[in-house]
Amino acid sequence: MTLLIQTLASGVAAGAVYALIAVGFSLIYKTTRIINLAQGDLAILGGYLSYTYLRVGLPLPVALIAGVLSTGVAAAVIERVALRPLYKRPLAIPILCTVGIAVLLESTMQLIWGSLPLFLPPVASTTPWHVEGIAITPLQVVMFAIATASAIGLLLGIGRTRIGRAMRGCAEDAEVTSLFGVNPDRMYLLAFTVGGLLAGLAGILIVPTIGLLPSSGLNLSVIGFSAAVLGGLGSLPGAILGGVLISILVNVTEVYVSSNYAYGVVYLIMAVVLLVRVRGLLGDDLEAVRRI
Amino acid sequence: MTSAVRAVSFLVPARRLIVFVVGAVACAIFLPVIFSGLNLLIVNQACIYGIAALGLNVIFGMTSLLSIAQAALMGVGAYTFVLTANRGIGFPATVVLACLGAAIVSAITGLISTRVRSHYFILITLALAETVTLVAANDLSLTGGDNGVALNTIPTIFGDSLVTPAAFAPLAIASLFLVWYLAECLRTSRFGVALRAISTDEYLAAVSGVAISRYRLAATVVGGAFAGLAGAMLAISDAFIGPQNFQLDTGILLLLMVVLAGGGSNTGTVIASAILTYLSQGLLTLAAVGELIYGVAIVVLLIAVPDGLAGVGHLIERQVRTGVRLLTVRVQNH
Amino acid sequence: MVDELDVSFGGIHALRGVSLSVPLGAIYGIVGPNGSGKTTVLNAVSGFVRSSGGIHVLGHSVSRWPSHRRFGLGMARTFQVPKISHTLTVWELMRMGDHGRRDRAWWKETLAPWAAAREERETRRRVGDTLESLGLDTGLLDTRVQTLAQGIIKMLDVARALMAAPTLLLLDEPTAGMNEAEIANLAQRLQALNAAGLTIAVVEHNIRFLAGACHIVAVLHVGRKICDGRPEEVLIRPDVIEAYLGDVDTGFADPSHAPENQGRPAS
Repeated sequence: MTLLIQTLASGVAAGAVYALIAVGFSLIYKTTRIINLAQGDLAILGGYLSYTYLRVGLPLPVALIAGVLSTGVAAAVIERVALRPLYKRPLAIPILCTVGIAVLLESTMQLIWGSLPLFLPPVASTTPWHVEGIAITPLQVVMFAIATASAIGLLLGIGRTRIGRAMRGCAEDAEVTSLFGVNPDRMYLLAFTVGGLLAGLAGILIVPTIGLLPSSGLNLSVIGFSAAVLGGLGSLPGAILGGVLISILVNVTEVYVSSNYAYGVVYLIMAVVLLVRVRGLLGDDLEAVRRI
Repeated sequence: MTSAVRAVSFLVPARRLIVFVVGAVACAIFLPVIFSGLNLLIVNQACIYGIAALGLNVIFGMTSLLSIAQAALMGVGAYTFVLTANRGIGFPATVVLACLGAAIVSAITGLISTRVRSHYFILITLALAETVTLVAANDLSLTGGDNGVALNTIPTIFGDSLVTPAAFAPLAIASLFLVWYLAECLRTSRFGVALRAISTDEYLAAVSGVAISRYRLAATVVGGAFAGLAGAMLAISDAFIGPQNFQLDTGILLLLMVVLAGGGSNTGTVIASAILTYLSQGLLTLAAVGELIYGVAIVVLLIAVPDGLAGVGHLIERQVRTGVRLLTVRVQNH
Repeated sequence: MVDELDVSFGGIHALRGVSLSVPLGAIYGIVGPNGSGKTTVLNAVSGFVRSSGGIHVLGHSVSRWPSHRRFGLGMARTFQVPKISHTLTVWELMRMGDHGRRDRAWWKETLAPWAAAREERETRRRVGDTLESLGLDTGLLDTRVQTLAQGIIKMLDVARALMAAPTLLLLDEPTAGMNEAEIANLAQRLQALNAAGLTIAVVEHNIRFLAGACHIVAVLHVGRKICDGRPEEVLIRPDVIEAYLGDVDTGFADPSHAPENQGRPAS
């Protein structure tokens, strides 16, 4: 029983961070209909950038914040340079382009920082508190707090404001939206920038737990968008719920079944969602189900 | 003169068939003579990847279903081939089983895709690709885990063992030409036009009476069967397979081939797979740099060369046609 | 054609209780200002949007049918803005329209190239006939569609629909993007096709074109049908004029006219 609660607790803490990646992924999808497969690599990039800022002598909090902001900028540059020319083409083309970008980011990081794990200091202590036989680290609490606060802040920001409605409108019909004085190009840029910031934030929070490695990007991407699919692509609350659920399931599988198949569970969940309930837990049919 | 013209015009409908037969025979005889050693290995490998890329061309190039699982489907074919061959099933039958296995697994992605909007396909195929790698790497009793499995007996054709690259090359080359011929016929058939309509606009396809789900499924089956054949070929060529042959980077390399080909062109896909297989041999030693070049190549090709090799071919064809027309006009004037 | 049709998108009613009946052999106009739901009627008949109410096409109740089956019945339609990739040639577009004719199977292309070539010659002849019947240049076959003028693309889309040899043709804003001469040509060609037995239902906001070409028009306004009847009677009714007040671009096709979702549901 204690083991189960322990597993759930660390699952929830990591889940909040995965939720950030999923929310960024879902936000970009919701606005541009692009499935951004570079989301996890952006998160790792955030970790590496913070590491570099720290090495050049910036204090830890400044380095972390600068790392997050730089990731946002990187995402914006990617949108401007690589994706904008492709919006008029079939949707498969910009999505394939994000695959190219993911490969490009991973290999660039490997060339610059090498393929051995580096150490980025965590934002809070990892010395656990023991409560009733359960070990919880301050880092886990801080991860959960920061991730939850930013996710809720974003939800309120997107749900309640005109910008949120404009973003949604762009995906529905960019031309009609532009008639209402909203510039779709600006919305796309905004979605990628916010997506990048969320990825960077998730990166600096999760990297001390999973290790700073170029190849972790793909795993983060996979967890991120399985979470988004489970919650319902395009639904931001769904992405948060999905992130937490996926993380718990991965942790439970690692502990009770086999660590080899922890990621297998992620794919299994994705397959089940796609087979049984395409729109996910909180998504809607219009986003997912083919109509003709 | 007129009888010669009549003979030529009689052969025009079969020009593709002639290219297939003559090309396959000529290449199967001469390429193993021209190339040797490492270069012949590259020729064999280009044929194998070419077959898989032609399959992906049906799924992605013609139908615009973005699949990252083509290498994994090759893996399904390769494991099916080796595991059935090692249990004593005869040679041509094992290849058929390999195609069948990969086609069935691919059909699963096609079946799921009939219910969801097309951009979900990349997620479905990614899940499949990683699942195949996971099973291959972890299911020790069946697949040998990370160590892979060896092919116990190398098949023979006409009593000739295919163990050397020179003996294997004719089979690989003939198979590539056969798959090219099948894919090219598919492209101009009613089936191919329906796929083209789906990739142009699903609404346009629907009002033309195209049963979108059925055709999407059929495209994944055909593409999967080609991947299975490529997997079986790889197993014969290497006499050994392991999960490292079928990972995501191979899937991305195959996508790059189809992108470089452009516009769903089969001939372009064959040329692109020859070029990229040759280049990737040099890049393999550079690991990260090689990957970086792949990544940059995908992005740059998509943005700067949207029509790929097919676009270049189209341009040359137009130039030649204009040239011929000018020439005929001049001849007639004289 | 449709009975008590209701269509709504996320709580917004696009159509409420609209019933239209297109008599065989007629040219039937559906008219209304922007947002009146006229394209939605076509989308409901095509099976692109979910609707409640009955849809009957050529004697079949099709409201539960998938799109492709409905278009197998001898119905064809065009789009307000045909979405065509830049590499597609006129020949390929025409062959898409020809899908209903079950020729040039894959096995035949592979195993019987001569039979396939015979079928190709036959298709080329029919494509040529179709293009000619609309006054289009038959030398365009190898041209890429997107390199042509918008008015010609719209005409090619009609040709693509006619390749299916339909008995009922649905046209979605055919004059949008056409100039005066092209509109006059279209009206004349449609009447010729109609005289040869084709039933045509056309969604339009160009009243001059409709008045000239149609036998019957129905007027829609904010998702309801106001009235229907012969164009010269309907179009002078005060409530129809009322519905059009404030929507000034009724006489001529105006390229700056807001795209009404381009004839497709939001994607």
